Amino acid sequence: MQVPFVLYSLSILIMCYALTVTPFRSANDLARGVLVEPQSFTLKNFIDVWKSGIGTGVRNSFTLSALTCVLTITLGGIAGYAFSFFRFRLKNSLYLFMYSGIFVSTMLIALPLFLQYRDLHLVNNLLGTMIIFLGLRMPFSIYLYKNFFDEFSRELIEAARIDGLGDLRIFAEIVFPLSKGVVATVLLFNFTAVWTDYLVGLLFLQKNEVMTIMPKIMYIFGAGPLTTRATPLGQGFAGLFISTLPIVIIYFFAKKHYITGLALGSIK
Amino acid sequence: MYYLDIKNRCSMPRYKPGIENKGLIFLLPAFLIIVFIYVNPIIRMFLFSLEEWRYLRPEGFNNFDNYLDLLKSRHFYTTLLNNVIIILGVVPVVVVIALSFAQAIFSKIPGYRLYTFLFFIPVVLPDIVVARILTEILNKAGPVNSFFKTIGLGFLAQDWLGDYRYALFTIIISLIWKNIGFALVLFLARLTTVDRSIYEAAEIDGAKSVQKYFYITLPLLSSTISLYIVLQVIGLMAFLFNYIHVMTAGGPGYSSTVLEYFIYLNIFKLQEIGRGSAAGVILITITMIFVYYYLLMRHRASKAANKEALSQNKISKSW
Repeated sequence: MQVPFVLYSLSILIMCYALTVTPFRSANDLARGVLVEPQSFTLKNFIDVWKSGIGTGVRNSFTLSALTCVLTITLGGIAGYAFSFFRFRLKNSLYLFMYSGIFVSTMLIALPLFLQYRDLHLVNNLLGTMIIFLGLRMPFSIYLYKNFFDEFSRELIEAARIDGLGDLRIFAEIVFPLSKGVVATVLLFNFTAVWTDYLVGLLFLQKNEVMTIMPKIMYIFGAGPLTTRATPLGQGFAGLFISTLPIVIIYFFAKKHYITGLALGSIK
Repeated sequence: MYYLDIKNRCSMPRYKPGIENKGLIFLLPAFLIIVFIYVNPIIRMFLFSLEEWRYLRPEGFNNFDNYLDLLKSRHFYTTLLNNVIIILGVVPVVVVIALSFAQAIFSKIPGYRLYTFLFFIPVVLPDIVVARILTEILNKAGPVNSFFKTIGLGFLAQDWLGDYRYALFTIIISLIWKNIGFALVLFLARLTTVDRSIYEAAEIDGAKSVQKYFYITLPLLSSTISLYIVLQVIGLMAFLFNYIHVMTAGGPGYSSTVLEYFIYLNIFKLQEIGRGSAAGVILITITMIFVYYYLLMRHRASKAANKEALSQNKISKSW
């Protein structure tokens, strides 16, 4: 009974081992193999990877993630509020139309947007790219919000309306403060998605000073489109470690939001 | 008097359900962004697919030549076939494994808390990180092969990613590895909402645990399973780029290229923009067919199941 569980757990632990131990081993030690027991402990890989400019990648990714989160939380919230509390023509069709954006592959929009951005001189521009992320994350945010608001107390809203509160104020002063759970879920998913993005960063942020973290790491590994140089394994793994750290921390502290978001996001 | 009273009551300031077009104003920002990021590129990609291209510059329409070109290309069929192989290889295996895991965890086998915690880690780890580490581990001179050699299974030590016979297989295995946790979460979420009294009734009727599983649990899970399958098929059609790009770059040759990566190769590597866009139009058509089915099934499932049963609180309590 326990055998498949133990085997699968073991494979996950091996992955975690490779991810957490490898970046702390020296180059000579690493030459013996990735999964053997470590014989050295060094921070050189982190220092090297920092020198090769992963700091800018972290900063850019963080800026993009934060901006995208703030805007999806507000604009997506307002849109979800409209979908949940108002009646208007074409509501359902509009909702399904926006919702189906979740399933569109980023690859499909990449080239047309790239050509447009090139003509507008927005390639290698962080704010321009932020708008892409904002658009990409909007459908899922609206979806999470609408799902949450659909279970929201109608009486409260009606009472506020009778008291003569405007719709925007109802949203800002009554609905929004009571929806911390869904805000946390939206924040978590959008932050993770932007942070771990590879394709958009690869195409739209090519210059060194605007590169995001994932393309940067692949560049350090030498697998990027820009260069093919010998792989400094330790440095690459240090990069992977740095990029995974925020995700794992989020998972530890917000596991419930993560899992309910995923479960509700697909079966309800 | 009576009528007057009614009239007075109706004139009280009361919220009347009706058409409220100001809701549209609230939608406007999100709507404009979605139109700019999704609708505008997709329409333009459709136009691109009808045009003759020369070095990132369109040179007039060419009557579906790109589509004919695509249909004549042998590689296009290889990539479609690879897509089908990946879907058929990943989805049933993940469903079976996740179902048995879910059942065991639901019946609280020893250590189930640790397992639920561990099994979700592959889902959380970024694609790039997983793919990159697997590339190191499955390397020709990597630890997996040396492990096979030391336990005397030297014939299993193959070039897992660099050999055209195994590249697709390796990708399938790693996708199974990564996706079990997600299916597990969905199935467990459904299991926790099942009314226990059904099982008690079955026990009174003398049902064995196997019978209970096949006659009660599986039918109850069936809508969740089919939803998961469609969702996973969409995911495997439209969100594989990171994996393929990092692990094999579609190679060797086209042996592990999927439709999504085929679009990338044509547009960004071969500069065959017309052909790549035509493949893109085909991909979005296929995706939207599946999305249509997904929405239809969800509509039915939410009608059938008690909506309250799946509320946020209940699921988070179970974790």
